[in-house]
Amino acid sequence: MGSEYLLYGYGIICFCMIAFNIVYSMIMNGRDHRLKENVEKYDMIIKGALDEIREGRKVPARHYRRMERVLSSTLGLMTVEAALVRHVEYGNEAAVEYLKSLGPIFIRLAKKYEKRENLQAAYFAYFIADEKFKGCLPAKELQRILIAYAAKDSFFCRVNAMRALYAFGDAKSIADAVTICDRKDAFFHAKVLQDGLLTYHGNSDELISILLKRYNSFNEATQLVILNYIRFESDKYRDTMLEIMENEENEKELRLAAIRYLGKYPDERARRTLIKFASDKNCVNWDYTAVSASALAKYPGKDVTDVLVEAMLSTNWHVRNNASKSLQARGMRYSQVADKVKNDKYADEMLRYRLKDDNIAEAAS
Amino acid sequence: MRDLMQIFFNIVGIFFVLYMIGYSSFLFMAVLVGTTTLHGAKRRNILKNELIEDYFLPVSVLVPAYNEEATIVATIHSLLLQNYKLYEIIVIDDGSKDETSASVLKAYSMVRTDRPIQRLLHTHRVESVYEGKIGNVPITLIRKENGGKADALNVGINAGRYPYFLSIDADSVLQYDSLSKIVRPVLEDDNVVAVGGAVRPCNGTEIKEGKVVHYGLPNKLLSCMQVLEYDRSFLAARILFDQFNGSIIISGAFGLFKKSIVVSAGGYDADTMGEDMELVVKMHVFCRENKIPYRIRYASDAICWTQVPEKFSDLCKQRRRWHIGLFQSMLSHRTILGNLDYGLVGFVSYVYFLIYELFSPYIEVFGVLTMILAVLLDFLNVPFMLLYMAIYVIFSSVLSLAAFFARLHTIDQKLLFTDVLKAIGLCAAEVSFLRFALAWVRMTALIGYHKKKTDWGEIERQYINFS
Repeated sequence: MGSEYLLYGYGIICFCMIAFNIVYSMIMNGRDHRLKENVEKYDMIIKGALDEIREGRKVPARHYRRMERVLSSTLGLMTVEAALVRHVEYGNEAAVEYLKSLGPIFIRLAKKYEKRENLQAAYFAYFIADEKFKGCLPAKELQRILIAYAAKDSFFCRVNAMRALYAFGDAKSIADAVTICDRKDAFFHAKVLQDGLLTYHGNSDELISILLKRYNSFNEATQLVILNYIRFESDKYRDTMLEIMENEENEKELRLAAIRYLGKYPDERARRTLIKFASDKNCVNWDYTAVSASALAKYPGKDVTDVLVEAMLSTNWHVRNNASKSLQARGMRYSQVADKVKNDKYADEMLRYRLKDDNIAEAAS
Repeated sequence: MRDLMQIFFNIVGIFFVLYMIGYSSFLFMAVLVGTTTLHGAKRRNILKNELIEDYFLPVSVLVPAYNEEATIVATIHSLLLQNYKLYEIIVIDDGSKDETSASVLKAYSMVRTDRPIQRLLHTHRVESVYEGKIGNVPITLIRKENGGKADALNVGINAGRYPYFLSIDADSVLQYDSLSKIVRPVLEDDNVVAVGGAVRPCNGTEIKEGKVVHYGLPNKLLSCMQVLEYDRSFLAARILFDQFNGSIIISGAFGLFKKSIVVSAGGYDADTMGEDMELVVKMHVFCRENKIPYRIRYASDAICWTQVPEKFSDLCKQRRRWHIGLFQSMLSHRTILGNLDYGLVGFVSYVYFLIYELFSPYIEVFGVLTMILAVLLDFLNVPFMLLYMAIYVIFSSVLSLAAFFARLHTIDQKLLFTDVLKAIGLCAAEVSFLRFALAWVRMTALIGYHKKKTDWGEIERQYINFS
């Protein structure tokens, strides 16, 4: 009927796919083999250059030309990376000097890879973010180029560029990259950006200061990341957090982040507001009540304990759960609160679990 | 009369040609897209276009179990070997008659507690809760009244502390990096509400400390044919559906879900046998009706190893269960069909599952019966029929092999030469015999079907060596 020809066509393409897989597999095996050989080869070449440096001689210009040529391909980057590991990991001083001498090449390569497809650009960013280059790269020039990488459409390119910036960038460059991503509405999962910022071991106070100066220009998602980052990084921003928590015009998630901060780093000025939130019986605001009940754990005083016990009678599971955890953290025993919750099955059940079997409950949370 | 018969056979012939063109075109597209995607993923992996650092979203791993004393400890052991730092394990014993709970309590140090469980979803009664901590991983064992797998999963959702949950079958084991890989799509796109992992038959494969130390095809022919079937039908098709957010099934054996969306959508339906498919379709409906931007993804590199049935009777039980689940799910969400509001989910995914999964056994068996009738009435051009069948078998075999080898090559698994020969030999048998036998099983699946019957469908388990 003629339809068999369609199947013949499909079949031929499928045969081609199988053939492709076989050829691809052979190419990959060959490539792995070649990579190993090239690593040995470049190991010797780099060793030769290091010997020159050790003996106080200048590394010939043709060596740098050759390195630039090989580093222009991703396979070359892989080769050199594997070869360099052998020399740099042992804290070899000559290797550090050698890597520094490659600086101008890396600047040119950064510009070259910026124009390549995103996959390759991302790999270049990954390559230079490596620990072994720490302190060896021309950070100032590369940072400027990496900010452009962070603005690319590829998620992985952005992630790898930020990773490189965390590794050797300064606070301003990182803040600039965050700003560009924010303005372009480029997606960064809050977790990825926040945990990434936490890997920055430079001047975090300066970074926070710049980010806070630009805070109002960021969208809500970035603002939230910044507040959470500050919570994990520093206890010096109570004033800022108080202001954010108190301002009713702020978005809910931002105010909740501020409450969490003030729970981690207690401040007496926050007590009144936190108690007000935790005492709120309005179910619509249950998240303020729940987070405040959690934040109050470190605030001493009978007034706080009374509010937390009262919160145990809430109809909301999260409020009861957080209040019970706070009471547990304050060292309360079930017998101290039993009579106040005896008429509420859910509160009683929760407190029995938290305050009687505290070891297990603590272990499980 | 003979003229009428001739017209009938002509119509049937045209129908089958169209049916086959549709099916082979779909399979072809699936294998082509699947292969290309796998190679693309491999290249991304080589060029480090992936999340390299450790980013951990908190995940509750739910293990519903019913009479799983043979495998439950190996499953938990594989979970404890994960290179992931922020997860809890919740085993839900759905009123097992064997020693499932006792095996867990014997293997791990746990204490009975009165832990309150939030009642987000309605479930059968929880009888007891045990808690412990192994290393940094909290583990909870919940014993409950028997209510079916969906009900057990709903209890797990209620008890989970984290915003994402992962469901895994109690007869399956995860690779050491499966959890971190199934979470990645969520980190790459905030709108992802569910991720399906790749489920692969572990029969014939040796796994130690969460890593594959030897990959080979199983010795038993039936299991071997299922390996080929999994790659062609499940792996390739799911990658294709993933391209247009059209996945309407995430295997119950290994799937990650955003808890808030699942709870809002009503959780697992305890009245269906195909609770995994039902949930995913329900999530599509919920997100679209509420205008929630969403993606349902498939992570082909997040691997879960599962035992496929080694006995034909067990395979029949499994497929019968799957088919009833498919029927229930498609029936309860029939409004999706051709509905513009559901985009390609209604026009491609639903139509594919309706014609080539739900109706296919009836169509295929009808085709065979028609052929027999045509032979008896001397209406059939036998050489043409044989040619056509041969083309079909060769084409399907080539597709199976293309999907199979593409998977092997892209995940760096080497196969013995004898296994290569075995795969080539068995792919034709799978297409020619197993497929038709299973078509018969699926066709008869709905005989004696009870709407509310939700038993677990017991299959004989082997002890999994995962040490």
